[in-house]
Amino acid sequence: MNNWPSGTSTHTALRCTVSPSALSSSLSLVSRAVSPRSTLPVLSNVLLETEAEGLRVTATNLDLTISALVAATVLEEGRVTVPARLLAEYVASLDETTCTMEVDERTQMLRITSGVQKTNLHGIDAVEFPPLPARETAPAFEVDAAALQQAITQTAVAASGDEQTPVLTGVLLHVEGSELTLVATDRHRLAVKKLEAQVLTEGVVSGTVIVPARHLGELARAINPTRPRVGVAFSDARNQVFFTLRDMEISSRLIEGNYPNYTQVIPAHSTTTVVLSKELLLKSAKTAAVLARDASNPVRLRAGKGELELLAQSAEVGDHDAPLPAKVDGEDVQVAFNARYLLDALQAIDGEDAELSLNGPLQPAVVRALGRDDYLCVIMPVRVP
Amino acid sequence: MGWVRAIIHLDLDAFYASVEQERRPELRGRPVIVGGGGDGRTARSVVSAASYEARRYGVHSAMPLGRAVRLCPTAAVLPVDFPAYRQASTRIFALARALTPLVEPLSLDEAYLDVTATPGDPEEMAIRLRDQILAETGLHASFGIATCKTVAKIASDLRKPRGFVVVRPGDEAEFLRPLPLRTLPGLGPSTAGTLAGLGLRTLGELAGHPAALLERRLGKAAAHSLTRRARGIDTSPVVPPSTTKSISREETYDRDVVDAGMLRERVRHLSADVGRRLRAAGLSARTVSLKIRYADFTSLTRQCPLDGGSDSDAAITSGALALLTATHQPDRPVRLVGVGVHNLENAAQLDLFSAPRAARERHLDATLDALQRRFGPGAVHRGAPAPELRDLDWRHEDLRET
Repeated sequence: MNNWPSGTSTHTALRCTVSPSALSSSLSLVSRAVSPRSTLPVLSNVLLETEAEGLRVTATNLDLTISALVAATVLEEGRVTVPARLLAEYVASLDETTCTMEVDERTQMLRITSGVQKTNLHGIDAVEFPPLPARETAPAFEVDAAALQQAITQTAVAASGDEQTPVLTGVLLHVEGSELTLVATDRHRLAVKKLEAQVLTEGVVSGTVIVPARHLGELARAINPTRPRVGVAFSDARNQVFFTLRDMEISSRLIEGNYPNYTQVIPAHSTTTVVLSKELLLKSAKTAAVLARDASNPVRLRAGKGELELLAQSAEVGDHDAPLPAKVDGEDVQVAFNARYLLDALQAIDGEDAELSLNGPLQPAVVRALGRDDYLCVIMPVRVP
Repeated sequence: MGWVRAIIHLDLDAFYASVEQERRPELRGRPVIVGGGGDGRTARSVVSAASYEARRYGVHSAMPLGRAVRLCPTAAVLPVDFPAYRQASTRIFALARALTPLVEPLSLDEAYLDVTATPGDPEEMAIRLRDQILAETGLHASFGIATCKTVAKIASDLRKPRGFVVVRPGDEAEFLRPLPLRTLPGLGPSTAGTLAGLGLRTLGELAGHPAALLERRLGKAAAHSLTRRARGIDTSPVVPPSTTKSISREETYDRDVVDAGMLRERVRHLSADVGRRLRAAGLSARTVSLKIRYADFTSLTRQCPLDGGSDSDAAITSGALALLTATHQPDRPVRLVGVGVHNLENAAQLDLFSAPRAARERHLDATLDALQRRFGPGAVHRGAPAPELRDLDWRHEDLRET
């Protein structure tokens, strides 16, 4: 329908000018919270609302809510919702440096004018948009965004995909004094990362929550140098977490339930310690993984006499054998791990040298960067004949 | 053109009957029918195999035995002796595996061999294999050699018995062109009827027919696959079987069982038996299944995953009992119960949170296995219900409580 009268409508609600490229980059992050298959049509939409500082865009699937503030010149205040994917694709296609958005209050039609182009999108009244979770406390603590991004990448990989045990699909966030610990496990491996937190509230901050790993992934995606700090707050009901960035807020429901006692499965000692070049081991493990074709992808490690040997075999495919130079202390040992878990752990650690602390063929092993205590992976072996 | 892929299809001639003739020289050259249980009753039996001498009288497999005997009254009728056929089959497939590890048996008497990576000429390899089989077992086989499974199988079937047909790379389409539709493996009477309705009689005509026109009648996937195979294009690999696919044990009761406690006890017993055999084979399982047949002969089979795979009695038992609780209707009389494990592999991912308990379970399983080996099954078994292995040791710590 392009028979809208030109000129300012008397029924206009929301009118602003905004840069399409700025709006587009915010929409691409916010749209991640849109439900692809929602029974509620308004959940496929993004909420646009004016604020003093600009235009706020928000999307939610009720579990995850992402909103971003885009710099805009607000000419008239108002709110509307429009299909998120459509708007994102449309705005991304605009070449102009600025566009004007205005809403007809009666029809809830959003008109976007950019250069000579005029486009009308059918909207849904903003009152239909679900009420957003309210952050009722100030941020409890703040962390360096880049450090948090790395911590999420290092731990979320170990979270379970199995919805049968919901707590394991999350990442445990534990804050104690000025230390934030992230933990994830799928029962076969465990990743633990510690980073520094700056406590913002009075008194001692201590506690534990479980955040869906996928939602933390969206937070990690939003982090870049323009968003250097992340504040962490909770709802008064303690069932929502809020991550606040310079121009964004990401809120997630928390996973209810008790997390397994992960500290008791981190081995305090080891019977064999192997130190070797991380790159060399990573490369060899990648090759071995190609041949580890059984369901549990077993790659055998044989440590002893200044060598770590990687062996993989599959009845159908063939075998692979690679001895690597290594510093081996303690008992000679042979143990097998799921190649996937070994690769994930090696890819997550910093530093040039990897340290493997092994405890025989049936007990958990620890993988970490040599001399680093801030991150470790515990991997349970695969029992092989 | 060289052999891009070299596939041999090996098909033994009148296998069961030939094994019988081989071990009873007096039957050689005479019609032999294999079928039935050897009790002289022919009413409900069918022909499992017939020698070529018997086939001349019109006898063929799956024919009622009574009718076969009327057609060929002079035939020697022998009971099916699977152990003997299996033994012969094992010897023949061992000769095939000496040539290549890529041997895919289709039945006791038929297999595909992928000899692409074996040095030498595929035709010479097949001749050598044919001579070895004859020398070691006295049995004849037909061979088809081609660049794919479809063409190799059609080739071995073309000049049976003692056929030996080589289709050289590039000659596939020409070879298939005059053959009737039904020679294509997997093309059944119904599809053949549909194709005949389109005026197609030979594989050449099928190959030349636009796939798009077949799609409407046969569906896209089937139409595409049929036309490709009719041209001699078939990229399906030769897949050696993974050793054991599943282990199961079931028992039928003389009197139907209603008592729930008794049922659970039987499930425990069957689970332990399956567990013992699983460990004896050095395998662990990723799936456990429970089968129940009620007195009215309705049956149900349910399965659940064993996270990460397991070979322990406790894990199998707890899985099977959970299935029993979830599916069994308590008051229905049960006629049969079975427990099985599937998705077997020779490696098992261990669990971080049940490591200490799993070690104890392992020790107990090993002890029970050893006792049973020494004193026989039933000498000793677990008395108490197996502990639930799935429980995590949860720590009660939560921000919302503080």
